[in-house]
Amino acid sequence: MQSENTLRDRIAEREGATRLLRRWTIGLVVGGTGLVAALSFVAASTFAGHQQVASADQQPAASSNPQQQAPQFQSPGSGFFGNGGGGGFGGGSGGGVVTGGS
Amino acid sequence: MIDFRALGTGVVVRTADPSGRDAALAIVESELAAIDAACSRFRDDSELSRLNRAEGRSISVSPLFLEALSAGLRGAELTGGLVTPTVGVALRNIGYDRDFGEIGDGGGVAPAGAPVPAWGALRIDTGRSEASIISGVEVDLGATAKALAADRAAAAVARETGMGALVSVGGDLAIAGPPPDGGWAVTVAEDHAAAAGTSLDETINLNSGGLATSSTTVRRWRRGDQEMHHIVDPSTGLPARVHWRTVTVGAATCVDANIAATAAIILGREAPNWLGERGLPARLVSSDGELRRVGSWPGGTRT
Repeated sequence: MQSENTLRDRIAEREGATRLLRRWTIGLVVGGTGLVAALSFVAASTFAGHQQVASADQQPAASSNPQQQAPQFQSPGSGFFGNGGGGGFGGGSGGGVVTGGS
Repeated sequence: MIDFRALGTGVVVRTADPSGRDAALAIVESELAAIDAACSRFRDDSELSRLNRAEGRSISVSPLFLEALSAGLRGAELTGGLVTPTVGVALRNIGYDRDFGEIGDGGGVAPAGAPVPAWGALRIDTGRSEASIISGVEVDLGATAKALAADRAAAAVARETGMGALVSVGGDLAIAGPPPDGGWAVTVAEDHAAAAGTSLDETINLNSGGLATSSTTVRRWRRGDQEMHHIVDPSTGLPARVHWRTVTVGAATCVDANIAATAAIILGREAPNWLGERGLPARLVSSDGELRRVGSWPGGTRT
């Protein structure tokens, strides 16, 4: 009877150990999978970031900004023409300066 | 009147305070010497000559020459190719193959002309400081280099002396810094170097920016039985048909003013509307002496 109890105890102990071992195994598998997934995500994000930087560097300036306008003449401001110091056109300084064909 | 000669033309330098004149002259001479070394078509050792001889290869260029090439391409972009830096071969074909003072009259035969290559033949890489031109095409920066020199020189004088400055390179003039009271008085004439005025001359005052005049009455010569001048119509490769004797344009920079004035000569009778649409004040004298003022030009009428 005693040996029968001892046998049951041993079987119970072994089953308990097996359950514990199974839980640990499942825990390790789940944890490891999560860790791998997390590491993969970080790596993918970092690579994508590098790709974005590289793409921006390789873009020609014109196509990186689709809103870019064709160049336009820079017209003079409203103060372009002077008033000649009150003496009408020709009253300002710098006499002797001539624009014309050259 | 003229302080010294450079880039094949007369140069005038003025400072708002006369005490800055000597310093200003030295600064301008240095700037123009640098432009000449980079952009002259008539110097074998210029960067431009080196580019024209490169047979399509990319060459390293200085920041100054890169800026000059960019200004030339800006002219082409602004005018849809009317003013293009790829006009070098056409200028040689019509006889402008040396300093203007050395061009003889009457020699050779009248050139046949051919359309000028598109400006895409010239490529610049600002990141690498390189430029290339398709083999067989030659660059000429005559429409923009003098104006760029004026812009750069005026800015340098104002920056280094702290005074307002006006620099005129063959009548293409730029203003930088604070102007004198009333502005800079500038006479608009047929020929920038002519001593005596004509009834069509007028004087205006300017506070800022650039002013440039293109003309079909100066830099003329004969080839065979035809009269030549130096403004080439890229559609024919020959001197533009003369509708205007002179076109004077104001803009925020001398480069833009000169590009517009040159384009106006090529455009002919369409020029006043074209200039008005771009907000550029201008004064045009037709081949028969009729005067047109455009936009905000004093006495002008908006088109």
